[in-house]
Amino acid sequence: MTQLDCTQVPAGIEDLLDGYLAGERAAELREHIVACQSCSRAHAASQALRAELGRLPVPAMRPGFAAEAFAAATRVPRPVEAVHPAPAAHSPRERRTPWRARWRRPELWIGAAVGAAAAAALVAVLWGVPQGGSAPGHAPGRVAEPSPGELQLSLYETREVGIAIDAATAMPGATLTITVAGGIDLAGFGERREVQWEADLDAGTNLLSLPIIAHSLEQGRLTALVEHGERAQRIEFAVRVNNPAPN
Amino acid sequence: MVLPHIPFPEPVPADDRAREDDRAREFERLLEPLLPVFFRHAFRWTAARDQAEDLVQELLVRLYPRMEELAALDRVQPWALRVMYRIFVDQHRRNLNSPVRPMHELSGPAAQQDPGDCFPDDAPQPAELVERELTGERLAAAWARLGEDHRVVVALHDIEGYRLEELSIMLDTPAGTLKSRLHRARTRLRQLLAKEPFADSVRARGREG
Repeated sequence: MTQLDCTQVPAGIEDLLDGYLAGERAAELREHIVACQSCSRAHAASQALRAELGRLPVPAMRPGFAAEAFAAATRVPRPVEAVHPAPAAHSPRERRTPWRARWRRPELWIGAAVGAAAAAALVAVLWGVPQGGSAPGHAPGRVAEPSPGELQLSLYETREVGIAIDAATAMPGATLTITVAGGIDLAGFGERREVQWEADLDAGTNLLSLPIIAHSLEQGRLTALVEHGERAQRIEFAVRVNNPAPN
Repeated sequence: MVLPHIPFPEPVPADDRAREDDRAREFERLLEPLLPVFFRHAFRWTAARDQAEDLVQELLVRLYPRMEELAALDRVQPWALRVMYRIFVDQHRRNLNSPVRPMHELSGPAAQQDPGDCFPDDAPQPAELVERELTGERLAAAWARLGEDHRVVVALHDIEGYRLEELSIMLDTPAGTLKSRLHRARTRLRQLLAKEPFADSVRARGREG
């Protein structure tokens, strides 16, 4: 047994296992550990704990997470700042809710019907407006009755789809997210299926026109999400794509 | 009545879009092999898959604008981990300010300090752990209850094998502070392990014996 006091050994054991001890001090400690049953057990236990730590299981990433994470990270809404500069404290990146967190907040996702019925702070309604004109009874720039249901587009037809967003109060810096899926695209945005930007909403009805193009006969889905502070309103709309009538 | 129109972003010109697509592909090519590594670290730090995914997602969001800087690095991993640690700390601080907190954190002002400081240094000595049977199940449960700062330092040092000097740069913390934190973290882990009940299988074996 060496002159080492056993109370000094535990910290030394960790340093020894970490590789931070060398030379005479390390040799002295090793000698003590070999000779002292209690410290030898402590040394073995520390080794066992480290080995077990290395075996702590790590689950696999959720299938599809990598693709979605890269898509979300590289989908930078540059036009946002050009069209509607946001104050520095509310830049899109700083305000951005993490991917999982955003999609894990079902309590904020009020369906259109529920939102309308409950007269929530934000109500979004959709109706189709033919490009360059207006839907029957829906003059551009006027409040339209919501006509829930399916919007129809012909293949390769571009259509301005109008969204009316009713805001109970003025909502500066609201975040708008438009997502398309299936056989439709946002005209001019290539493969980008989601556009997010910030806009100041006036109290009352605000109108938004979206250029939609049908690229395949698959049914399309258009989703509009409006977020302001802790409030959010989302509406989804199915878009049926028809074969154009033969000439 | 004329209603206010919300401006819709201008479409991106085709050339810009193509450049952006190339950049996105290059970003993915660069980081995709490292994604499991980032996730592994994030999971060890957070002890929760959802939170780990949030952390990795936010990391990618922060790194994408800095892709050119990233591409010029010899070793991307430590640099990216440093960024991820800062995000993690920010998130942890936000959680501390949140009215919704896990039960075990509701200890008043003590929640603001290093969790390892809240407990006297009365941890069972390492040898006792052997006698109490160290199972992966018990260790995982204790790990999940370990403070976040402590999980980070033990994960990086004891599991991933980073040296204190490397961690000092990565975590922007003096090596001496990290060494103390590591000591407290190990102590706390042993305390938590001592409090963890035995796994059912171990209990069953005990009854049979």
